[in-house]
This record gives sequence, structure tokens and C-alpha cells, in this order.
Amino acid sequence: MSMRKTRAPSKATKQALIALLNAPGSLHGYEIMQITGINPGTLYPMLARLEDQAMLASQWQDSSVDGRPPRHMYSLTEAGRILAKSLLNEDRRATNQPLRAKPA
Amino acid sequence: MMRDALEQLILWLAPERRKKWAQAMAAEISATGNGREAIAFALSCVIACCRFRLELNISSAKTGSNIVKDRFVVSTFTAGVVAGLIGLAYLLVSGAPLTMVIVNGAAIVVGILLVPSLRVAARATDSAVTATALIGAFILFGTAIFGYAIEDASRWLLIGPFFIQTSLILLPLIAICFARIQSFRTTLAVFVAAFAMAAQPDRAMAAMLFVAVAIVAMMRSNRLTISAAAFSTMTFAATLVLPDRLPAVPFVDFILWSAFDIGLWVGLALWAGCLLLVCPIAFVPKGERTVLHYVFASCWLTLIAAAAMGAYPTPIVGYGASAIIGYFLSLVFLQTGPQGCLAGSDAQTNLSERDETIPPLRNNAATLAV
Repeated sequence: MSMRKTRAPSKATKQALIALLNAPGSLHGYEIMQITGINPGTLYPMLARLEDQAMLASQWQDSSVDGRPPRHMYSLTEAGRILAKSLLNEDRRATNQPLRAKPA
Repeated sequence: MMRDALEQLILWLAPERRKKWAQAMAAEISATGNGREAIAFALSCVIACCRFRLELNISSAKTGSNIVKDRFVVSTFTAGVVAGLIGLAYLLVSGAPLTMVIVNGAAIVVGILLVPSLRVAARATDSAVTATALIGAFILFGTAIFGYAIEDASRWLLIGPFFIQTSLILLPLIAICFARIQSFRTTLAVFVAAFAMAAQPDRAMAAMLFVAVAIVAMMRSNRLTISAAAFSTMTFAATLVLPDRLPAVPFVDFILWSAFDIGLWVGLALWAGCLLLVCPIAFVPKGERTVLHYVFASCWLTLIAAAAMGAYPTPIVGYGASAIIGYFLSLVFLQTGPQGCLAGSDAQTNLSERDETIPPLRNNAATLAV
């Protein structure tokens, strides 16, 4: 019924999206935590929201170690990749922006 | 051992909708071993599950807009209470009859007591909304035909000692119902209500319906909404042509200007109180506003404009209390999903000495117009 307000992603969301973008394959939660330093208390609700927004795809993958349960692996969807790339470019532009001299 | 207990806790804490995520966390905990790191990871996962649970409790639909809606409802409620109190303060300062003060004060209490019905209203189905619109419209029509008339204006129902100006209670509800559902039946309700406003006749309320329906037609343009807007335009035009001989009443009509005679701050406070009723829409981000928000705000704004331009009561100081009750009722209907707006109603108690020029409704000490 109404247009949904789009908010700028948080710093943690940016980090997670960029980590998933740069990863060669899908990542599990513990790996994302190790790469980004985001604690699971924040990470999992964030991943759940990203999946709700169709930015993230998840799948179960059998563990390579016997007796261990399958792990939940995450990768970006096409929409997620576009968002992550735009965030990455935004960060690069911000970093490369030359410092302006203060007006007199 | 502790790790297993935490895994069980995580699975138990997570709501059904997020069970998959709890299983994912449990799998990660199993994979990370038994060390301190795994325990820290597990404890943090418990926090994640608490957040999932909290998310469930904040909003059953788990959407951001529900939280916004709640903020809108809270601000509407607060605005109603504060505006009502400002109205009471005006009555005290201006030396209005005590009965008027009591009725207005009681209205605030009644309004607050209506709040528990929010939960019931939130479950209103489409057929209930349609039925509300139709019943309301036919009551307005009945009032125009069989209601209590003063100076050719038939706007009131006499119930016990109370004169009830039905349009002030029902017309905003009809506008809200129409904003929610644009069906043949709700459009019929708008036609009947618009005709009733012309038959009563009541310029302020006809203007309110016209503005509300025009907003719906602009935002949800279709054959039904456009025809409803066209008809309400015609009936509003009719009320402008028809004579309105009701004289202004002290403490009620034109007070947005006469309050400045008492003091600058009194006048400003009265304006602030009235405009406060429209302010809750500011708490809804522009992208989240729906036709219902706009209809709600426009209903009250139209009443304020009418009170500023003609001999019509303000929403916060009417003949008594109906406007205040109406505002809280509109809050109840807002909760049904969208917005409601109950136009101001007036209630009046007796006003000072009897004057031949003042109609009995506005003069009778024993009557309270609601």
C-alpha cells in the first residue's frame, strides 16, 4: 500500500555485504564473523533481514567432518551483489576524494 | 555440556519463523568446538535469538511500518490529550459555564478509556469496515430527515439530555472507511453521507467530506473514487448556496480569533492546541504515509479551517466534548490498519443567559450537545 522507506545500510551490514561479495564462494556464519568482526548477536538478525529482502541466499551444506551437522552457507543474490558493489564503490569514492582546503 | 545447553536454549528461544536461523547457529556452535571461543559464540547467538524474539513481539507482521504506525498512534493519543487539556484551560480562562468545562473534561476521560478498544478495532474485517460506513451514512441521512432542527438546520439527535451532532461522530469514520476500502458499498455510503450533509445542511462537515474524498480520489483514482469526489463536490457546493442561519455561540464559535481578546498567549495556545491534532502525521516518514494518514489529517485540518472561517466549533472546544471523543475514536479506527479521523464534534452545555437569538440547543442549561 505504501512505499517502503529505504534506509542507508549500517556499517555492519556494509561489512557483511562486502565480505560476501569478495568471497570466492559462499561463507558460513562463523567465517563472516571472523572476517568482519561482527558478533553473532548482531550478525544473524542482520543476515535474516538481508534474506527477507532477497539480498542473501542461504543453503545447507554437509559438513566435511563426520558427525557434525550440516552448516548454513550464505551467498549474495544478484540484487545483493548490486547493492554490495554500489556500497563498495561508494566507499572507494569517499576514500579517494581529495581533501578540500578550508575556505578562508 | 554448557555448549549443548546453550544450543538447546537457542533452539527454544527462536520463534518459529526464525527456527532455520537457530539451527544454523546451533550448527556453527557444534563446528566451533568446546573452547571459550565457542561458548562466547554461543552466548552471542543467544542474544541473536532474543533479538528475533523481540522482533516478533514488537510487530506481529515484522515490518518497520508497524513500528512507525505505533509511533503515529502514540503521538495521536498524546496530541488528543494535550489538545483537550488546552481546550479545558481555555474554557476556564474565558469564564465558560462550569457544565461546559465538566463535559469537556469528561470527554478526555472517555477518550482515554476508548484506548483499550484499539485491540478490538485492529481486528476489524473489511466487511466490518463497510458495515460501519453504511450504517453511519444512513444514520446521518436519518438525522437530516428526522433529527432535531434549529433554524432549518437538522443536525442533531436528542438522546436524553444530550444533543448529538451525528455528523461530527460519523462522517470522519465514513471518510476513513472509504479511504480504506473503495468498493461499491463504501462509495454508496459516501453518496448517502454527502447527500445528508447537503440536506442538514452543514457546510463545515460537507467540506470535510469533500476534502477527504478528493484526497482518496487523487491518491487512488478509479471510477468509484472519482464519482464519489464529484458528488461530494456538488453537495458541498449546495451547502454553500443554502443559507446557514445558526448564530455564533459564545465560547464556541469564532474562538480562534476571540481568544486573542483574552490574551495573546490564550489565542496562540488555542491555535497550537488545534494544530496539534494534525501534527501526528509528521511522525510518519513521507515514504510511509498512506492515503489514510492524509485523510485523517485533512479531516481535522478542514474542521479547524471551518472554525477559523465561520461559525463552527473548533475540534478542541466545541459545545462540549464530542470533538474530543471523536478524535480518540478516530485513533481507534486508525489502528484498524490505517487511519481514521473522526471529525470534531461539538457538545455544548448551557451558555450564560438566555438570548432570544440563540437557538435552544445552544442555550438550554439542561442540554448537552455531544
